[in-house]
Amino acid sequence: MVSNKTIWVMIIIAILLLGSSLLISTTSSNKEVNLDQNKAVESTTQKGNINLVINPPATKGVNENG
Amino acid sequence: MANQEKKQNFLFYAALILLVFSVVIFSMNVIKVLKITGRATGTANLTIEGKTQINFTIDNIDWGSGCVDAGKPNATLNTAAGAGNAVINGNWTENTDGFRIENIGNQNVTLDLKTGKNAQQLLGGTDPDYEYNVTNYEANSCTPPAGFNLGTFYDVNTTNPGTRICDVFQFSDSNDVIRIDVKLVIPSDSKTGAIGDTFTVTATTI
Repeated sequence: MVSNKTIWVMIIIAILLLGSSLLISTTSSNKEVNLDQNKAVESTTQKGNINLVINPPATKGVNENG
Repeated sequence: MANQEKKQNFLFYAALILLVFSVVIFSMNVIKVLKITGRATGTANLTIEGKTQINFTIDNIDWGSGCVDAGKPNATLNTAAGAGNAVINGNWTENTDGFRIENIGNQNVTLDLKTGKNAQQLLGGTDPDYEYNVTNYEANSCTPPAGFNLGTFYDVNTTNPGTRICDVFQFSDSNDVIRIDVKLVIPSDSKTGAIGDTFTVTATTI
């Protein structure tokens, strides 16, 4: 006949194993993924140019006096 | 006594089943952890950098050399007018391209436009005009602010940061190009010689 002590030892070991399993399961599933998008306000400047050469009219225009 | 023994045996078998069950569960967890060791507590970081960038794909308007036709009060140079009408009452070289600006970043931006000179500073003379006109070169590229209309000529603005021409200038490839046309009215008594100015466009992330 199995003694009470043996049975209690078996139960305690089983409880300890189940507790350990729960702990392992919890910690191993603690995964973290960070996805950051850098949205800092930025500013940039670009330039374009216009160019021409204005020659005097061949004869005086209507805006010119004298 | 027989009952006590039966009860004891029952408890033993129950404890045994519980023990076996817990050993199996424990073993499964240990195997699982061993398989994923290294990422069980890892952190994955990914940073996507925003890029604010625009480009003048056409950055120069050069009308060459010319003069106001004799007897005319002024000449008009208009890059939006189309070939045959881009120079009126003058003999400058026609320009029908205007400026072209593309959003080559990965973010929508606002656009502000300013020039270095106003009409009087650029051209001088009697009633000069110096205006610009913004249009979408690719559909829906620019959403203008209230009170500013695409396709309409406005006097240039030399004050910082300039005139807000787009509340939203998109970055998507098929909707990210605008055109800026320039119109000059050159009086017959304007300055003479080589003149020029700079258009400054500032893009700011939204």
